Amino acid sequence: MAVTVEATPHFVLDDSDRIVGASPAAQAIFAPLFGQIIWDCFRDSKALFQPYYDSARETSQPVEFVQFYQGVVGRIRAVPAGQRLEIYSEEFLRLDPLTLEGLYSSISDAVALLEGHEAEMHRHIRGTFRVLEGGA
Amino acid sequence: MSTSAARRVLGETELPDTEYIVLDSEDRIVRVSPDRYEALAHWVGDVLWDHLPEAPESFGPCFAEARITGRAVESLFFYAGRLQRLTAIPAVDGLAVHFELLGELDVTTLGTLTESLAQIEAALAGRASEPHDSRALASLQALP
Repeated sequence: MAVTVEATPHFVLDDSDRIVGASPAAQAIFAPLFGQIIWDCFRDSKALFQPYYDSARETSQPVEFVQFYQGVVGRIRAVPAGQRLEIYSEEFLRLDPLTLEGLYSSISDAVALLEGHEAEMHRHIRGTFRVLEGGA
Repeated sequence: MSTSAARRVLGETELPDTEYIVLDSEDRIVRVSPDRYEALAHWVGDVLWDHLPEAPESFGPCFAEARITGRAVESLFFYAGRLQRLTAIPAVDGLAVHFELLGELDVTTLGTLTESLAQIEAALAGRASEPHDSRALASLQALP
């Protein structure tokens, strides 16, 4: 899967999910939150993101996923780096709430993106299984 | 849903206590309510539409109906993520347009988006299903 990776992580978590760093572009959002547990700052995000972050830590492998949060569909990449977890993000689509027509159209695009990513993930998993079965 | 269907004429005593702007006959802003003066003072003298790209289609007919009938006309509309009640009230110095925030789209998660959009749609649909005020129909029928 091709990914545009930022030069610096969007933000960085320590092993307790405390925010310990942020890219220059994200300083305005995250700098005031340094030292705080991210789930306390963005309560609605825990169920959406934490399972992927936990998976990245458990496997010591980068985990990539597409998620909708705060009106944005984005690709998130969680990369373990020692005791820390670097979070990179790429915005795909932002909802357009100006008019109902624009909103419906952007929701439709967002759903298509999310479904497309899910289908891509399933193909990737099936491909992995085939490789494993072939190698067994 | 037709946005024009969401309009209704109010009784003369139902004047909302909300933020407002006053428009002249060409929809130029001539006054803003004191509680919004700091935020909107720089709009005074400008045409309202210049500040509302893709404004709901119901605005124009709502204003026209209020001016023609001389009565307050109300419309629910969705714009910039907000469900608002607009009330256009003919006044001596122009058309007073009141805005009341009724609800906001919550885009935090797909769940909150779905729930808040459903509430907004229900509000808009509910208003659309309301019968028009008979006084409004009567006033329109009296027009030449």
